[in-house]
Amino acid sequence: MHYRIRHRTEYTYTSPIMVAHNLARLTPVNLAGQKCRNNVLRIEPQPDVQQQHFDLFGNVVTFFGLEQPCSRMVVEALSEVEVAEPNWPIAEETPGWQATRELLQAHATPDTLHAFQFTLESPYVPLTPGVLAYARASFAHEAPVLSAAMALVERIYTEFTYAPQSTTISTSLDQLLAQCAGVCQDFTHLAIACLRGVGLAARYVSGYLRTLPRPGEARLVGIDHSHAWFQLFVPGFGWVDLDPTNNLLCGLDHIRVAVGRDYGDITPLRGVVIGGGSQMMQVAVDVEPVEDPA
Amino acid sequence: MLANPLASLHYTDASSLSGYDEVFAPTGEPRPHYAGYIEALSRMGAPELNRRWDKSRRMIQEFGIHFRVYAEERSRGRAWKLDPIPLIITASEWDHLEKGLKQRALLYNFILEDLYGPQRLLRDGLLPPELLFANPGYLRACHRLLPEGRRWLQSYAADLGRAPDGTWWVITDRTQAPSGVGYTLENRLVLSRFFQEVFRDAHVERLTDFITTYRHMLNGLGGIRNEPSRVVLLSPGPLNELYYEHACLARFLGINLVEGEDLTVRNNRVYLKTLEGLHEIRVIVRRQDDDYCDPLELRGDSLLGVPGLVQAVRAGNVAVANSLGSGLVEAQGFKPFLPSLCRHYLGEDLLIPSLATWWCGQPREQHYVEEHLDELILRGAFPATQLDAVRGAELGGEARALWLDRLRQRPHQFAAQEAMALSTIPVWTGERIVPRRLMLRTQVVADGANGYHVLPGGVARVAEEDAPLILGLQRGESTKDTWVLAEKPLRGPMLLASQEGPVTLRRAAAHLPSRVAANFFWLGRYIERALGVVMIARLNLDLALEEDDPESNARATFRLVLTGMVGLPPELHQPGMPVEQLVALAMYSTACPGSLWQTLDAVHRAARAVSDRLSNDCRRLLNRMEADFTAPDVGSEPTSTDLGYVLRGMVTLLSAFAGLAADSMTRSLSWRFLEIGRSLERGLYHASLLRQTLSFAGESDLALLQAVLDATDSGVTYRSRYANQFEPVALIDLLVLDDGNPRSIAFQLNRLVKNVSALPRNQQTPGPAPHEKLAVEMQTRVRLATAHELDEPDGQGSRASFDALLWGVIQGLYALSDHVARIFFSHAEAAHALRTTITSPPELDIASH
Repeated sequence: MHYRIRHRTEYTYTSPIMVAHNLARLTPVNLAGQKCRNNVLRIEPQPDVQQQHFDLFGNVVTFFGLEQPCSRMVVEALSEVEVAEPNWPIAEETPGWQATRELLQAHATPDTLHAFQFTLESPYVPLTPGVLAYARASFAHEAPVLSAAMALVERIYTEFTYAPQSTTISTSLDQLLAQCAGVCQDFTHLAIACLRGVGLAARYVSGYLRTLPRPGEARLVGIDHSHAWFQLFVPGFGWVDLDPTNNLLCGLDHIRVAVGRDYGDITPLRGVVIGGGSQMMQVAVDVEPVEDPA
Repeated sequence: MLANPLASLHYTDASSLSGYDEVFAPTGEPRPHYAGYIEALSRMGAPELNRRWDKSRRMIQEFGIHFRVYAEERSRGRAWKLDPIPLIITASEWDHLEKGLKQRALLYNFILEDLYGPQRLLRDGLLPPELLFANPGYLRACHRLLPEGRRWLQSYAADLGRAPDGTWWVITDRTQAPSGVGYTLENRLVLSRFFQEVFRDAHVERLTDFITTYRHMLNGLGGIRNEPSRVVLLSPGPLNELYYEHACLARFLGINLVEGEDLTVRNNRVYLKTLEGLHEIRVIVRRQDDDYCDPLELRGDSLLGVPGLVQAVRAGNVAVANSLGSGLVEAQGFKPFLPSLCRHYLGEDLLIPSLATWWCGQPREQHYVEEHLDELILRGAFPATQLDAVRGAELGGEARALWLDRLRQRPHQFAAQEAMALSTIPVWTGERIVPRRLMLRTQVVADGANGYHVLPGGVARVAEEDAPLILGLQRGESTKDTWVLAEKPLRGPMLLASQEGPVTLRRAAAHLPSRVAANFFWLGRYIERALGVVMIARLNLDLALEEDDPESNARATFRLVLTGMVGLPPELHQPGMPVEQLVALAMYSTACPGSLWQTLDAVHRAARAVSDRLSNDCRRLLNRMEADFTAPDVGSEPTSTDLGYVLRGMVTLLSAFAGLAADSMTRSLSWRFLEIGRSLERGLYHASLLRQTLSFAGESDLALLQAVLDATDSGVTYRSRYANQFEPVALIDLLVLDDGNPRSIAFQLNRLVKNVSALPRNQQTPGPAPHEKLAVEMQTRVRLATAHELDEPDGQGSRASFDALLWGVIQGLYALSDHVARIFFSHAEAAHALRTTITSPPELDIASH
């Protein structure tokens, strides 16, 4: 499947910003089953400095600095991405979750050593007693690791309500457990916390989800969204993408942009500005399937 | 007759402690390398020792050596404690320590290089991955931040302790922002003078080379030569407990001391905001914790630091020492792995062992710690985790269960250490010596391409009370100089290579940071504003004694002046309020934006920000001001006498401070800004006061005229000229036009013109700068006026031209203040006044599920 993706973020400020330093993680990663054919960042006004580097997790990071006063900043990421039909392992045939944990604790191979860092707490994924208690119910018995994770995903999907604006980025996992409502990044952090809580490796994915038009209707432009889900480490296979917000194993509709321990590692766009007064932000994402990439 | 030589130089039985003593062998005799010193002390006798030591202590005070305790806003520094008996170490013993410290620095550099790069140590199983991945000191943004082959560890410090068997052990390692060099040098300065003859004969290793090496290291790092202005020391600021040490090190290195807001990143380069504009910086000696150095990449929840710094390092345009991320290896959890890592990297055994440490991330070690908790000290495995160290033996019942529970839940977060009895050393109490536990902070700095240089000596810290166990030395500790004995007599300078003796060492005088200039300007303004409030408040009290009628012209007028000045909110203003109550509000109310309390607070804030550039006397006056400005007891009605007493004290202190600050400072740019602030504020005060009292040309009211003279502190001058003949025209001449009267408006304007025209000029724009123009315009207008013209009433009985002139001066002064702020402090102000925001994350959600 080929996609042309346009991700546009516009900030307007009540008074001009004087200096802004920003980091963007808006270039889709090349991971198993996905290839980024092309990526351009169009930034207005023209940055005084713009540079790219890879971060520790292999994501492309673009640093850009604006040094002239401006009241509006637009960051538009244009990407062409090829997504292959995933070939996930059969859940029932994956190793048991306890065996998986053992392999991770031993971290005797490069794969398991790399995955090991995703078994530990991280700033947005604290392993609180509440989280551990919630996790325990899904990992009471020996089960294949992917089956157990899918059951956890289903449980989160059933027990939590999707409610935009019900949380902010500073809502804690304990608060989420109390209110049982949130958005994709909350469900993702919760799922990751549960998996790490029992010693498994899971990492955060930021990306896009293509929305399908209703039957008989035309595809609308600009209504798609940034999305978040997670990856589970399955020994002998690698990373498997699961979407707790939609209760599914990810397929052709999920386009990955960056991976990290949690949201904080791979925030799509962050910046520190001097000046600016208060700000308004508008985001538009458009995921367009293309028949034949030129 | 000599005082009894030194019965006092032996421990009494009651005071002796177990373990090794640095000075006395178990026989009670001084060890050979101490014999000379002890003998000299004995010869001197207690009274002479105390006399000399008092002198040395005064020296400490004069240097203003102190360290600040983080506490409430208005905390004060605590005097630095130094003891006259140094820690003396023999050449052969030091030789071993020197080798061991170099080895350790090399080793930590290797470890950092690997962990921020290929991470082979994890793959080869030489380090458990938790020590990296669960370590809050591991800054992921710093991964591969430095170019290949660049050294990660530029300086290093270790706390050494001596075990009962006489061997030295490393107790803590400091790889992030190792402090202590400044204090070491100051201690040496004091102690070498205290006992000059003994010091000279003892052949003590000099500290000079270390500073020279440090400077070379910084130059090499920045690829610069003899450009100290390209190097800065980044400090968290005057509230930090080690601020003095930062100021001191900056002085010794001859570099500017700055705070985060002094620096800005433009086009991937770091600049210092100075009065002359942006000045590029190539090397930052950092004393700020690394995760607080860049809010963009290192720590999103803090706005401290310099946004964009990491990228500037990545681009290779600036070097930071120590490297960002180097705090990683301070974790106690690394200690057990050092011996094998040392063999791995250097093929050698570790020369100085670490204090026995068990990292609980391994099942066997965890088990051992649980079994032997009573003999151990339990602490966090990583420095940033908020865990205080506890002695296992002191953990009983519930507390023990709680700790064990935490330990079992996250074993890798814990480490346990042996409770070693540190060696003792005598401390002089003024009458006798007592033994105290000791730890030695040693210093290492990178030397050449691959080597390290060790400072021969260091700060020896001694516990105040008998603290038998190591939980780190606590506050209240005292310090000692450390003398490393040379094999053969030394030549060359005692402390520093150049004539820059540490007392008179200059700061890099050029490139005055804008923030410093701004604080001097505001200091000047607030001092004068506080004086104005004090004068008017006092006058209100005095007038009430002289005139019974609260509605007399003088009383009513000055009541209005006072309420206007302090901005008394209407809801606090009750008609018929007793004068004491009004004055108490003007002095102490936190609801009045201009109350004396608020104004003095602003004085202290500005003063603190430039405290390293104020003389000790100035600092002492500020401390007095804080102590003397006491609030009345709650509930009791303040009496006129009480309030008057406090106000009189404040007049003295504020005037003394203003005078001293102006006199004790060289005519530098900082001084100019202080003066501009003062004359500007005084001009404003006088102009507003005169407008409010003399603009209406009614019947001349004797009491009012006298009060105006009192409020401007000009009564004596006036009477010397006019005796008891009070005429408004004479007042106008004296208070507005007479530029020989230091209280007149003309005088303030002349002073302003002089100082404003001495400020740095923008070469690109010809002609006078706007602030210069303003000042000269005001000066001219006042010069051209005559007293009789100004005294002339208009048809409505107002002195219209007098009023217009003063109004013009007030407007002009405000405009001048704005111009000065915009032209000289604007970068500094941006960080203060303009809101800095971290952009909120784009919402991540999908419309349907």
